[in-house]
Amino acid sequence: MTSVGSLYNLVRDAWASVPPPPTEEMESMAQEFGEEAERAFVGVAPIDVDIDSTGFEAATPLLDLPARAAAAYLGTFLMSLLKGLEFQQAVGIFTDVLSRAHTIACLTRPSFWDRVRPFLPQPCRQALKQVVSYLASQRESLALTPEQVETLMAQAAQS
Amino acid sequence: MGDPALILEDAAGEEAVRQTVRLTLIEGGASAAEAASAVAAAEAGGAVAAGEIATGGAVAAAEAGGAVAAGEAAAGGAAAAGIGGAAIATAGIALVVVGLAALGYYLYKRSTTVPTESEPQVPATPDLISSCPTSAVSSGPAKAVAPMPAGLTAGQEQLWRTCKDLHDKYKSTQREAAADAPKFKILKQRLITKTASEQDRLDFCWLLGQRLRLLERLYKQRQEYIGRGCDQFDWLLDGSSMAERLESHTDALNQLENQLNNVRKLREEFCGD
Repeated sequence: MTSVGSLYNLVRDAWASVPPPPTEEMESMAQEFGEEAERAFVGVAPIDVDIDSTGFEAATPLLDLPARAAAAYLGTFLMSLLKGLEFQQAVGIFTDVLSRAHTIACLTRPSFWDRVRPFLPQPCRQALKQVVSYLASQRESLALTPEQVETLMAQAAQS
Repeated sequence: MGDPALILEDAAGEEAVRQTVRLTLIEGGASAAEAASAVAAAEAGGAVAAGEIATGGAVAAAEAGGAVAAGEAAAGGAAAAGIGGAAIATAGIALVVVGLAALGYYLYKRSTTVPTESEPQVPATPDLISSCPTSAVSSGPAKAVAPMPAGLTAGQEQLWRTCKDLHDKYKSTQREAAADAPKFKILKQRLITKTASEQDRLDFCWLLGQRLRLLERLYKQRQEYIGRGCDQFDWLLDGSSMAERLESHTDALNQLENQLNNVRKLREEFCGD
């Protein structure tokens, strides 16, 4: 059975070759989420963003960034979601309320998938598919509605 | 009151101040006592300038033993100086220098110390946490976004300003809600490794409660933003339509509400309130 820890590693490995998006694609970070967020993301590769930092937790950028940058940092947000879920499974509670809400809001929007899909390398698509399948199996922990699960699975199937 | 990790340093530093002033007075060096008192007073006014004192040669002496040890060395030096007049004067000067070094080091440390994961922390009680500043990230709005579009009616201009305020306000709340991330990191690490004390658990629950209150405020602010029709303005000039922005913001709001409800239930079980 897939564990949340192995999925975290899968995502990290899949996004490992994704470089930091060009700075000009990240111009809205400071403006929208503050300087801490700018420091956390700009020039930082998706798997190197400190997901426990103030800058990361302050940011909900995936719907604002250009598609390529959003595809890159989707990996970061998936890693955060999986870490949060791992903590929840071990301790019984979670703290990543805002970033979790943001990631789920993105993944349950078909238009988000349409934007980022062309920029996801094959290993990332494969990892995303497995993560989505796992998220669907954790619908109660994640408070997902049946409609959201349906959307998630339909979008993942197209990847 | 400040960070709990600093409270111990506060105590050490205040002790160094007290020792410096007391011992200098014993030696009869009134002007030196005034100088020591002035530095102590400067500590109350702002640590930065006094902290810079310690960045000179004095800090090296203080670093050898820390503020308290330096203070103790000063006390020892003072006892020896009781032998004769000339010795007293010399020891008095030495005492003041060492005392100031200790004080400077303490102030320097106090102005630069940030808690790190590897440092053992004194468990923070809720009232201590509540009085901590929420860090620079929570202060002030984000940089200005798109300028007011041309050709708006007076009513639209007024709405634009209102919406800009709401936008800045909720972005600021969002940053404020994230400001406690370093504290969460430490407490979560202890909880997941089952090394958390009962106080850690209480602190975690209190911090989470604070975060949830901020996110509830964020929810209301975003709700107001949507309710006022602010999605007619494209702050990022990304070419999205009003309908797209409205849908996106509504989705985000609904998902935030879902997760707030989710965590509230879990918090009741975990924290027992």
